[in-house]
Amino acid sequence: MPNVNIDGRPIEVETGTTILEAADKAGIDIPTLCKHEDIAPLGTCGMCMVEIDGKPDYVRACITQAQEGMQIRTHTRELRRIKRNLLQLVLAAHPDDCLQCIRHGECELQKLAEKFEIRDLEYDQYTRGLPIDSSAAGIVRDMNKCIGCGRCVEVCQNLQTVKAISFFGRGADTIVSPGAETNMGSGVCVNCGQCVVYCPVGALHEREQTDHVWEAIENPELHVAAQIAPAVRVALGEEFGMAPGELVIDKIYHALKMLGIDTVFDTNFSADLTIMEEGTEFLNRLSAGGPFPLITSCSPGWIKFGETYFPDLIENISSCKSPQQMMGSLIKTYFSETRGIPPEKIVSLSIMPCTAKKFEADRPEMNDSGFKDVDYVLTTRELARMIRQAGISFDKLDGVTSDSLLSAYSGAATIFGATGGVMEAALRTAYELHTGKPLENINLKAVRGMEETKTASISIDGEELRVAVVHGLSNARELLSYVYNEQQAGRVPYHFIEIMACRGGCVGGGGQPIENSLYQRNLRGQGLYKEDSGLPFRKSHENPEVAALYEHYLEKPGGERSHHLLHTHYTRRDAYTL
Amino acid sequence: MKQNKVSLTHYAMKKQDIEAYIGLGGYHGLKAALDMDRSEVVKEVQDSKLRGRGGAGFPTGKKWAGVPPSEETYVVCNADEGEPGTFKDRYIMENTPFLLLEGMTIAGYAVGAKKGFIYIRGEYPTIAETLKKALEAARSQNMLGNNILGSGFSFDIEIKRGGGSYVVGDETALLSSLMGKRGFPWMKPPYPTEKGLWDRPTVVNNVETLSYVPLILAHGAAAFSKIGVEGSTGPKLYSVSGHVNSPGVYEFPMGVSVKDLIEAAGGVQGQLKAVQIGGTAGPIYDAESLSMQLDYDAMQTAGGTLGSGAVVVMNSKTNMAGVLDVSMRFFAEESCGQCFPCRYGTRQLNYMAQRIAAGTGRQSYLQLMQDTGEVMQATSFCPFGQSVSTPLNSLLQHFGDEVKGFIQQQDYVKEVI
Amino acid sequence: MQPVQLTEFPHSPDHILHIFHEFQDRDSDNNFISSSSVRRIAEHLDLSMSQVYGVLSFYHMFSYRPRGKYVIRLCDSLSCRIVGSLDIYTYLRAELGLQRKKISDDGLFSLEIVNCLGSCHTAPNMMINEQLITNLTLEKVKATIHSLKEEAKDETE
Repeated sequence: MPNVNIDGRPIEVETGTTILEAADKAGIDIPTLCKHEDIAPLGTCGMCMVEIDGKPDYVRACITQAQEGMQIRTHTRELRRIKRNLLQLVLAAHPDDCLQCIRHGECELQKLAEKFEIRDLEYDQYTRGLPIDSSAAGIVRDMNKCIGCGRCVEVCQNLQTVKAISFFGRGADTIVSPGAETNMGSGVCVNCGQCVVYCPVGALHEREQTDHVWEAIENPELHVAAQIAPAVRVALGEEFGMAPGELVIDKIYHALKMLGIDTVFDTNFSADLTIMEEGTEFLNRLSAGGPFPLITSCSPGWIKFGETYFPDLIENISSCKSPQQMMGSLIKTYFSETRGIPPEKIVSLSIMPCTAKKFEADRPEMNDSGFKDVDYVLTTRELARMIRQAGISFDKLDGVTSDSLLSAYSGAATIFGATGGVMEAALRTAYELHTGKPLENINLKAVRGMEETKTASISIDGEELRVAVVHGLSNARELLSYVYNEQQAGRVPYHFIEIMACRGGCVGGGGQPIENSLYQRNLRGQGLYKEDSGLPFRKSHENPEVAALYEHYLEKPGGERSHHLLHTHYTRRDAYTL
Repeated sequence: MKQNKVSLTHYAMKKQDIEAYIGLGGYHGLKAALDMDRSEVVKEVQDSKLRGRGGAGFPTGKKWAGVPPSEETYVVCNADEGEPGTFKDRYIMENTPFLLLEGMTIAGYAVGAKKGFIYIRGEYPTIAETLKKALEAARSQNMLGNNILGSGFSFDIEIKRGGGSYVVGDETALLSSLMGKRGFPWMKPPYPTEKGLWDRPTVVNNVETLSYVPLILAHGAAAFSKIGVEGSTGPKLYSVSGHVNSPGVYEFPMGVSVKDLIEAAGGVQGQLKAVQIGGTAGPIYDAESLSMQLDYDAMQTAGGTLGSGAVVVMNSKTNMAGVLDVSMRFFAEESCGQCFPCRYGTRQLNYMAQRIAAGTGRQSYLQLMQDTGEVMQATSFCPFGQSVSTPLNSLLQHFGDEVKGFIQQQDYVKEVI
Repeated sequence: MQPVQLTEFPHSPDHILHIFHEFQDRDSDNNFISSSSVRRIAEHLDLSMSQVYGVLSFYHMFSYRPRGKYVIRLCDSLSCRIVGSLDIYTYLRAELGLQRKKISDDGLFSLEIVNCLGSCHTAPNMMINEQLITNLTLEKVKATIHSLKEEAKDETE
């Protein structure tokens, strides 16, 4: 346990702690641009240099380990001068349009420039003059703003293993690109947006659809019906100074109404519906003895990943649409018919923690209602901007209830937003429907939490049911490679697998508030489990509105109408497309 | 010079003939080494005090001694010679390739490697072919491959071509490139001898360094170390170019004076104005440099570095603002772009030097360039960025008035590319 | 033009630079690596397209855009500059019509300024494809270009 001294403050740390971490523990903030707590140090920016007594050169605090007796200084006169100069070098190559930039106020470069009192630039300014790539449904890539920290490449290549982007070029011309002058939209990018939430500046950001939504709301002829994903309700508050994990769903309903949205539903309703459909699908496979595994299908980032890298496992993916898409097709049929609003006048809006949902809504097959099932998807961040623009003091709202028909939800639905939530929800229902008895313990702790791969074994009518939960696409790749190999050898390692593209589950999605570290995601997830434990009914099959839907409209899970509106198919994709 | 057998030029041949090489005394070193324990071979090289000839001057024996025992160790020859002004490795590979192969094989034996790579820059395609043929010849004589000379030691060498990047001459950037990646340097520690290629112990040595190894083993450490000066032993191949009458590779004992070297190269064409020593990251001196001694320690004491031993001579017709421009442009083009100080710093330095040379510079550039160099020295990830301030500061120190003149008079109008 | 048999190469990424050279030198009349070649390489080495382009774009000898049949790499580092590389550059640009184009109109030549080719004692130097041409003078350059043009004419006849 080395003892070190940083800026005159003594501190003892665990062996292997870096100077950066030690300083943080001692309450000293060493500036960084490329380091993120979730990513191994890259050493690219040079902003974290510190001075160590007895060493002739400065060292990078992010990679140098604290050693016994080190006397460290983080901001000598010399260091301050050097860092200010280094910042100027970066700023001189960065576009000067903070005021129009989507990350204005939330940008790490801006924060450092402010911290270091950069008042003028001695260097001549220049920009790359590159076209902005808006080809991907969920993500915009603006390489004029890229500072070259390398976080997105590390995330896409190693944490997600989508490998859609890599460094391209050399020296000051280096950018991040899918290929030579090609765009992300036509490549293997799955729109998971993890690159977006780790980007320190506005080089990668969500493709905004707020303009369309304002237009729809402000058009008196159109009826806007919105749905809100589970993960949004424990995160949106962060945009207004509230704590991560704090449940703000009633405020969200209220804010949406104040914005002028006509009908407010809840994606948690269709999460319960998904469980009914998928549970039935699973139980059918159980009776038929396969094919196993059945893999969940609510994460569109995962779906595109699966279509691209594991096309031979497509028949293992549940044919159920995601809750977003189920809701979308019901809004333009069931809701439209029930309330007598012509579907062409309905604008189906969804509020999601996810950038890939924009891709999902745009998938050509997602029009089973006869119209585009989901017209627009707004990320949590976009909604926050609209709320601010409308002058609403979100944290002071009293909150209202949502509109009935497609809103009621169980505890099982709300935990969809956390990794393991879909699995737990599915088992709560599948077990009871199959055995006629409820699970002994409704809280399936084995599939909860931030561990990257979680497995559990449940005895269902004497048969052993093996389930697995993974989050983060690198873990999905590892698990599926294993499953595929086992399949070739004629073995079935798991019967049911939940895959979420983002670590932590949807609470860590590409559309969530930018402070999106794993620590933060865990807090949000816990907020969902807390909501679950306090709800009047906790199993999807107990949802009265779901029961009503089947009774009056769909007939039964897996029935013809269900198949038409609530199920989909997938497409094999080329892993080498550009 | 040619009578002294501890000499690379002694083995120079127009045509690569392994039998002629053996006739001149070639492969005696390997035979001697195979008769010794590996640790004895390492000790011999340590005792010779041979220092790396690529530029860093790290004691070769010390590097080898630091290699832990391992099932899979590699020897890599850095033949990426990209340092401007340097062409000694080309000379060795074109004229005495067997010295290199023999040296690598001895190195492999000493550190317990079974496989070696020669990473040769992409711009030397014909030399790569020459080396391939030399490898075949060595294998046919059982000097390479399985069970070398019946000793039980097996070692083979593969040629790896580069693709056009100066920075991969840096040890860890080279290993990145060899593994098929972009040529980004790594964080050290861990050092390549501990964790190099595919995380295995790897020794990276320059062409010239490896080429001396057979001579050390054949003639003994003492014969090697009595050549040159204390702290920089053995002969050295100096690359002399620019405004001299006979530019070329010259072999001298370490520590020859700049004056003697230039004389050997036929003397200056015209009047001596400036000398850059050590390569593009070396200082640019004025005529005072004539008395300097070309060895590691003397050059360091003089505030510079011997580097690759390149000496570029500039006469009075040389436009120093143009030299600054060419210098800074080199760094900007070759920066790998991994770290901020270098990727942004080299570009700004390039812009400023370019504008000065084109007559559109500003007075403020001079101080700003030096400040930038200082920031890069303090914060760059690897020696490439850290060293830009050396040629920059020395040029401004010795020729600052001329450069200022460009800015003030703005009478230098020549199309700058 | 000889198609590259990727089966010659093991599947490990460390052969990528060699493979690039093969595609560019043997499999292309235009000294570049096409996107379909990149795809074949990616499939063979089990790398993504972004990774292969990432490596390709780092090393300046390679091009993902077509170039002339002859790529002239003219050195403009210090030793060559101080003995007249700029004059050669100016001459070549004008002679080959490359002031605003990347490839000469006859499709034969591209011109690149490169850094030290490692033969400073014979400066000024240039490479044309694999060949190093040393001790350049304007006359020598002129003659070299002329003979390459003649050679190309003979080939098409």
